[in-house]
Amino acid sequence: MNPKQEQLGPNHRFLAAVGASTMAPFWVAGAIVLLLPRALVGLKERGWPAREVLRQAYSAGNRSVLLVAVTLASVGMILVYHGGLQAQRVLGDMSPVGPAFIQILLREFGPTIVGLMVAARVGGGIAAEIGSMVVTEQIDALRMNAADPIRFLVTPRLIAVFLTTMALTVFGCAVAVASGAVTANVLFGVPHQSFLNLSMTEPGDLITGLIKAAAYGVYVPLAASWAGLSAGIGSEGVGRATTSGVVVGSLGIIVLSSVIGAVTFAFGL
Amino acid sequence: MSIEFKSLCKSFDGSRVLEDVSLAVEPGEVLFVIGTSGTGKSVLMRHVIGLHRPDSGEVWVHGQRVDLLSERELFEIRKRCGFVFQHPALLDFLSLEENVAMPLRRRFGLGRKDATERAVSWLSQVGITKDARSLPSEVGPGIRKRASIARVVALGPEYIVYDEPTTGLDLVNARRIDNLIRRLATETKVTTVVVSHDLRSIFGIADRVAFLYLGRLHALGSPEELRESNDPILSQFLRGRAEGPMVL
Ligand SMILES: Nc1ncnc2c1ncn2[C@@H]1O[C@H](COP(=O)(O)OP(=O)(O)OP(=O)(O)O)[C@@H](O)[C@H]1O
Ligand SMILES: [Mg+2]
Repeated sequence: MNPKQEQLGPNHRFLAAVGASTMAPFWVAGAIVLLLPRALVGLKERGWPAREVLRQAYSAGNRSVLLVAVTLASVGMILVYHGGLQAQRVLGDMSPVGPAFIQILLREFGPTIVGLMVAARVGGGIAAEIGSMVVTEQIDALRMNAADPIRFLVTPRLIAVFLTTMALTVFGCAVAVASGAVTANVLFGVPHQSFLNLSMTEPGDLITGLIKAAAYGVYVPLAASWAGLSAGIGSEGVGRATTSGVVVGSLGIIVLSSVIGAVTFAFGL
Repeated sequence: MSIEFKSLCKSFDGSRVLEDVSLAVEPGEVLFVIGTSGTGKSVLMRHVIGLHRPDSGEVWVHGQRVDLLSERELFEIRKRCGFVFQHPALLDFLSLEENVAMPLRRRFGLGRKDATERAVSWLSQVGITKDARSLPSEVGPGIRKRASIARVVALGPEYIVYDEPTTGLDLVNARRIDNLIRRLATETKVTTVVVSHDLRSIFGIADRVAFLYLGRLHALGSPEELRESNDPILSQFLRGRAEGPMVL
């Protein structure tokens, strides 16, 4: 409680607390957005840590590739199974199952589910890593040498996670399509040629999906870095930073997904 | 010109850590700051280089009020004032050698080869030779701590704050660090503040000792004066007795 709040009566104090927690998401969002220009400035400077970007991209990809494969394979299976049942019952025609599935996968589920996996696995890892650097005074040591912690730590992670998220989205969609095709073939006897059909997919779907993947690829590392940089003291501080990295990362993806969905819809994509 | 705290107060989330601390470090002396865990020694020291700002009071370093400086302006102070953190605070993706060399390159614009040469020589002064190429995670905490000392002293600062430099070191290496601290202070007139729990260091190399208790400066004097003082709290602390008037 700050001194100003102490002067308020109990009712006002309650309101102030509610007000503060209502505003909190906006402060957090603002802080995360403000990291972006500071991380991008890091790109211009000399002695750019290419080795660190590669290391980060490798570890981010390595950490999530299995998770993405398993999740997207089961998403493909489940969606096609339920879609197939509906088509069988309502339409009696199985030919739209593949095209409809592919359309919604590329536009919505593929990027968003991959984004959520990256937020949990990679975002959590980044928040923990940077959080423990805060707690063990490594960030302070950087500041002592006038080395900007954002440029040193956030910039390489931003680039690495951006590239990894794009690649994982492509990979995840491929896995989901493959598992969907197999499911449709085994359960409903749909031939692969009729399943793998892009007739319902328009360029707008692909563009929307790509915009989402790109937005998550930028957002997740920034949110996780913010969480890590705001770590408190002690190992408890690292734990809290990790949790908040995952929570803020995943929530942000859900919000971004709706916002981008609405905006692309408004633009007729 | 030196380091001075004037009536410094600092709280975190409403709980008071430092209360009205006034303390001046004499140029060229080795001042030890002692006190139980959690009395705010590290917090006090971090004010010197602007990593914390006081709630009230002033912090002066090299004739400047550092609590008013911006992050950019602080860099001039941070160039003059080295800080050995309580955690070794080495960057874990660089080897010990690179950890020492990196600030040298940034600060003096040295080439990779020159910086590495100097880094190797400073590492050997803190007793690290065969591990210089290892990553921090591959060596023990004592070696990490000594490497972090090398990283700071290599830059040749005019002021150095050491936060528990010998904690966790074996006796031989602890004395080696003491000698280094004393030598830098005597030969190159480095103004030195050492936070320590190590009684051998205190009575070995301190010019003066400040005793912090419950966030306040409780006693200040030469090691002999403190040893002979009959303040009950101070003598309980220095003798390390479990029974006594101290509130923990
Ligand atoms: N960044 C921070 N945020 C909140 N509280 C803090 C912060 N840094 C320190 N504290 C609190 O301030 C108090 C003093 O901490 P400090 O680290 O200065 O103790 P210390 O005297 O250095 O102890 P030790 O000998 O264990 O290192 C502790 O209670 C600690 O929890
Ligand atoms: Mg401390």
